[in-house]
Amino acid sequence: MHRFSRTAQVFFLVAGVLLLFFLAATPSPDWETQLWLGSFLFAAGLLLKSVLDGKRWVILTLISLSLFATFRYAWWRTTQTLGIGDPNVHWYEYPFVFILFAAELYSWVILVLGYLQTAYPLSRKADQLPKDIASWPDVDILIPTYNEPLAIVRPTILAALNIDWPPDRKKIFLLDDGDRPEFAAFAEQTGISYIARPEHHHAKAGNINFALARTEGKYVAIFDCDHIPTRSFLQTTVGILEKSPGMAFVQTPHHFYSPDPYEKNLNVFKKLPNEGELFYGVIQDGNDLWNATTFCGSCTVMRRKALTEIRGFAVETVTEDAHTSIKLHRRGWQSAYLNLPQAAGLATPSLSAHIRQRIRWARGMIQIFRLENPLLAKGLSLPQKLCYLNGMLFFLSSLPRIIFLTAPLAYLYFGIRIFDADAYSIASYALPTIGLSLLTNAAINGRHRHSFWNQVYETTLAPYIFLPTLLALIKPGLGSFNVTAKEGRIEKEYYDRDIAKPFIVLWILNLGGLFSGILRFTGGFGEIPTIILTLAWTIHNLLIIGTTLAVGWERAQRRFRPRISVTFPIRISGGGGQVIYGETEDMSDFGVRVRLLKSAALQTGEEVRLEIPFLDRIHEFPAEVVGMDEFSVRFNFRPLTLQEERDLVLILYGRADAWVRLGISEKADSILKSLWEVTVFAMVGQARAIQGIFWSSSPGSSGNKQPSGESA
Amino acid sequence: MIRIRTCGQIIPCLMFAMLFFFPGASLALEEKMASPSSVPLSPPMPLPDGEFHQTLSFEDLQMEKDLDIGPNSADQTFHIGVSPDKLVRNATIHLIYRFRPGLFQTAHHTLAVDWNGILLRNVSGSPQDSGLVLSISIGVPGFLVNTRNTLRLRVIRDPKNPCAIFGSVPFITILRRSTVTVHGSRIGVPPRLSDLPFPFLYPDAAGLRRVPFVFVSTDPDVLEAAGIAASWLGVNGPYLPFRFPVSIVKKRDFSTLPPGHLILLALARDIPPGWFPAPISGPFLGIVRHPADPFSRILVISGQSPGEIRLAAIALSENRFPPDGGFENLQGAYPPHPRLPDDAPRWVTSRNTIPFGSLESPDALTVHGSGSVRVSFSLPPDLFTWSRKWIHARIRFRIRTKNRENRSRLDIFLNDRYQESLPLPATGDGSITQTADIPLAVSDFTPFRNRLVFNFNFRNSFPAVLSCTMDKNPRLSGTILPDSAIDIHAFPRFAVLPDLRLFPNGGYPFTRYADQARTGIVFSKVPGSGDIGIFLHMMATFGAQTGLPAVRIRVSNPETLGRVEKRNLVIIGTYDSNPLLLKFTRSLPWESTANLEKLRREDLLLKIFRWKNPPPSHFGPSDLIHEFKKARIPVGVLMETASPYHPGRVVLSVVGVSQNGIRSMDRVLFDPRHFSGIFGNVTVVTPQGMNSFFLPASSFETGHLDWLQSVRFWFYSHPIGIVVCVIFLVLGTGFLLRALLRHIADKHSPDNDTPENTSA
Repeated sequence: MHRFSRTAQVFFLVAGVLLLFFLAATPSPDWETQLWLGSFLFAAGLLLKSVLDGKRWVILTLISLSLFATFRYAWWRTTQTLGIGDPNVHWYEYPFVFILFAAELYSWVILVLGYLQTAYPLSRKADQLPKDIASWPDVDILIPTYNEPLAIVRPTILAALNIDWPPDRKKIFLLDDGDRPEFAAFAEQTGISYIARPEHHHAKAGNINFALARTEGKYVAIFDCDHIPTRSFLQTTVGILEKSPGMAFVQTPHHFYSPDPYEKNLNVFKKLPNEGELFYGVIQDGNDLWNATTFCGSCTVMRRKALTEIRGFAVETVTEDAHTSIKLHRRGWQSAYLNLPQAAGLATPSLSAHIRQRIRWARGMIQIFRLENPLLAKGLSLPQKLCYLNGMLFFLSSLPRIIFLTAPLAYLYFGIRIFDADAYSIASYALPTIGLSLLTNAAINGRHRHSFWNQVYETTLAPYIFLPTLLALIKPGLGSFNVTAKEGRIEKEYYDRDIAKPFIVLWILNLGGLFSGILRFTGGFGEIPTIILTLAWTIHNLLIIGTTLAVGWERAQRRFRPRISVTFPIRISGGGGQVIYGETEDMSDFGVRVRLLKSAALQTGEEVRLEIPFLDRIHEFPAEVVGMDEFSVRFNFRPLTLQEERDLVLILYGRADAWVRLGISEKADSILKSLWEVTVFAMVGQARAIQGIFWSSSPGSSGNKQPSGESA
Repeated sequence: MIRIRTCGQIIPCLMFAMLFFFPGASLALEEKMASPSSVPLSPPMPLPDGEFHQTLSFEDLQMEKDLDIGPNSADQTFHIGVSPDKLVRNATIHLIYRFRPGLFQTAHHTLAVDWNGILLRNVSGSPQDSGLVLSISIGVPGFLVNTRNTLRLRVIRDPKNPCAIFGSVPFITILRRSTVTVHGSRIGVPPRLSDLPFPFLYPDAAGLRRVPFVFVSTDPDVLEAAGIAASWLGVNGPYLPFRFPVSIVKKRDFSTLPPGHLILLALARDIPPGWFPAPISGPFLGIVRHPADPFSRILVISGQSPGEIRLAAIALSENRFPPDGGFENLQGAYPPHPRLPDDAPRWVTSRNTIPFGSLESPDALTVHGSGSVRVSFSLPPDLFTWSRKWIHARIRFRIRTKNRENRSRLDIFLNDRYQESLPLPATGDGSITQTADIPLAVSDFTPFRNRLVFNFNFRNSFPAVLSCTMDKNPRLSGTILPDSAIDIHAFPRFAVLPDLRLFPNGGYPFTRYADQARTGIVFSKVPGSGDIGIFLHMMATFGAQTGLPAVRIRVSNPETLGRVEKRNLVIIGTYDSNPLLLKFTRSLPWESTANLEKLRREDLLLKIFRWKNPPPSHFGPSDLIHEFKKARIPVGVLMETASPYHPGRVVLSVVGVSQNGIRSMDRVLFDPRHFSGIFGNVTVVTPQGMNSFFLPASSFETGHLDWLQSVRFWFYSHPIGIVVCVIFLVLGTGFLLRALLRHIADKHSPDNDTPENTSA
């Protein structure tokens, strides 16, 4: 009976979807009726979201509505607007018509695949480990490093030591591909194993594979050297692997406790969701439903047996992680995503570093697309193929994005038509479709990605990943692994003209288009509705480009490590037996700011002992006062012993709940508010661009402004 | 008659002889004058017996608007026929024009005026004439005027500077109030039934065809007989500008008969004795001399009873006349067998293709030198082109060009709208046959009559500055092969009625049965002459459209409605005379303010909820209200509704404010130039023109669609249906997807308690 009802459900679903497609392909008598229809459906979606926001069936209903509108638009676009056989369309207009159509085709595919991925985030919970601790398995913790400074790696190693796991079942390996003696010494000092290989083939993947051959734990936990795990990392993840013998790996989110370039340069840290939040907050969780979680190279526990079966990490591409997960899935292994931040790292410190990192990702994913095309790969289920396909197609967004940013210019500058349709029809079909997709994405992504920001992120990358992805498509073997810079200081803010050059070009082109459009409008050169539509499109493009320009303004970052907001009760023992009580406001590796419960007599330079209770004991740290105001005192730590340093790492980074909800916006998405934010940033960005082009000093001429320091 | 025909044969010889010996003869009456506004025609003087004087404006010659002519314009040709019962002594072309040299124009092109291929006059201007309205009278000697004549306006390029830059812009505008006047004698033609429809109709004659109908009684059978006769005229003179003045005379009082050739319908007892040598017995047809005009003739349709008059009209429509003689008592005149739907002789009956070979003679499909091939065709009025952009034509053409003719093109126009241009290759000494698939824009078609024009433009390969003219060398030729065809196989036959657009374009649905077996006319009890006149014009138009006389037309009045109520009805009259009109036009706003408010509400609700497609902007009920509120008074209204008497039938109400109003409607309703203004379900006719509107009303469908198209069209016509279905479907899809995805999620980890919203 249950099976029958499931079959009936599928039958009705298929019938309903077919009927939806059928209705979508039914034309409207005129643009007014189409606008009425689209507006009616948009209003219905808006009402549904407003009244019942958050219900999964509401989200799925909105997805269905958006797919209907998109398919209706796509059908009309394909059958009515390409100008095939229309003698009024000139031969030289066809390339423009079809280029824009191809870009739209790409965006429809991405939209549909995105809905598939995010339709039902699994929200997996941690599985409990056996109560008998003696039966817990052996775990090897691998921390690969190449050229990062020890200061970056130390907290990670100390945090790994802090992980709650039977000491005899936990082995930590520092995989140093840089053959640095100070790393070997630190490993010896902390009692962990140090592995350095004689040859350095295949970068990070080769480094880990070398270590895999020399370790034997049942599971392997992998952390990038800046990803500091919490103490609960293994207890929350290994249970899943233990429960499911077919499970190859458990991935946890990559969270960053420092602002990424967008957050830093636009000053929106913790106000807007960060750039990676969509992937780790929604997409990976959605992938998990389809058993298509992507291995992300860090913050992961993997089953050695599975890795052995695929002969270790994939080394053919520069994104060894995603490639490895495809190989595992192809062999039938399962994967899991636990959306519980159990480690945190440093975000890329500058826009240029961010772009370099994404270029590598883009190249790597396209390499995989060529070498192990998911659509053709045997062993993958259809949803797995589509999830991987979407992950790869995302990195082909550069050309469509550039097309969208420049398409209206063909008309505004040269009067070349890019649609074989009148402006009213275009608006009546396109606007409700765009509106519904915005509404649906706002419902799906909620606090993980605000509207319009994906366009800003894509625009930032578009000019830079276009060529690498094109080359990777043509010749996937080209290029080598480059290590992402993760840490650095910027002493003085500056405008990164070099990185902003393509955006400045796009900006000037669109400004010219705007000017040309105004001339057309006032001079009556062309159909007024068409001019208005293309002008509106150009203004939208200017907003996106303007915001991108704003990101090019590199704000100063003087701290070596960012301060982390954390609240602990604290007792300060000063000279003369004075005891002061307070609460920590923020902390870093180097110091702490304390809000005092009552005023106290402390002097700058005075040496104190800070006592912070955490877990089952009180941790003491020597410190000195470096500044104060009425109720707040700033301390710098005095040189710490290794144990004190380890305790500090535990308190600061190792708490089980340290990173919960980090990166998620405090406010849910609001389409209009987001548009307003983007508009404001665009205004600021354009002003900054002008200032940066003409008046800002270059980083090279004012000392140490270049991002420095790197970590894997 | 014989003399005229003979004249027609010898005139070319005479013409050349005259020109050879007296080269200035044809130009003897030339006169050029500056005439900004006046038409130099004096009011017609009373003519002596046997004389005639006819003035035709260029508008009467189908020139719809002022004509701009430039070096690249095609030759403009006007056909001016003269009825053989008239002998023309002289004619005058009064050309009114405006000279308009371009700002940068340096060439001095001239306009040549040819009559039957003979150059009459070159018209040129100087820059100081620019903008002035000028006129010139060009005399045409009578011996050059035949029964069929051609007036051609063509450009002669400046021989010194034929390809001047900016020289291709129009340099002269011919105003449509230009005229052609013919003057001459009338001939009393012998009364021969075998010559019919001559002299009552000579299709080639230019201008308006006035055929007066005279009634002694307005019995329904007599009116049906008149309708049959009128449709017979329409069959014989398709798409001619007719007018049917109607006179209703008292019994035996024929002293007030209108002048000219006329048709009289009267019972035998009402025919004056002595008109015919033999007594009338049974259905009767005869031609007799007009008692007040020896040069005019009367076609008498008669019988012992109204039914016999009707039978006589049927016999007339079947052209069953004796070989000689001016009258005939007809025996055994019965209507032909009933027709099938959509089988009118002039309709396209094929459901696949319309081959050109069936439309035009092979000669008409060929041009020598640059020129045009015209192919007129009628689409089925109910051809369902919904959601299609193109109707494809497979064109096969054969060309003969020369090696250097590689800039030649074939330009294709549909109803004067550009469609496609094909390059014509050089063929060397032989000819080449090519095939092309031409998409014709559905939006450029009219529902019934259409015309394709193929312009073969032969040009040589020299640069445009050296050679800008079309090559008219007759050795060059282009032929549209008869197996070229318009492909309509993908289009079903389906229509939603009422739809006034189909009424002038094909007479649909009345003409669906070509013999009008499903058409009933409802007059008032005492129909006025205007009512009958518009009815006759309608019948003539239907006859022209179907190619078949309306032998099964039925006429009734409100009291005998049962006679016709199962048919598509045409109710003609005024509100005062015909009470049925009130019933069928109740929704019009001129009857009461309550109607007005009701219409406004319905319109608003329809626009908001769209349970079916609302009227397009500017053509809805509010606009109709606005139209009625305007100061100008309509002369009448045309309104089509679904029939309450029989499913699948329409009622067309033709309402005039008065008999004069109906006559005014008659003048514009059947003029093809106004057809595009008739659509929706209400057309308001005003002295200034026509405006059509869509009112919310019940409708029905004719024809057949396959089920898929039928469902699609239903949703297309009912947008609210799409919205409601989509909302239910997406809600259902949402719930089903949640159930199925939850099922998949449970497989991963049955113990998981998946929250409803992970993003919150």
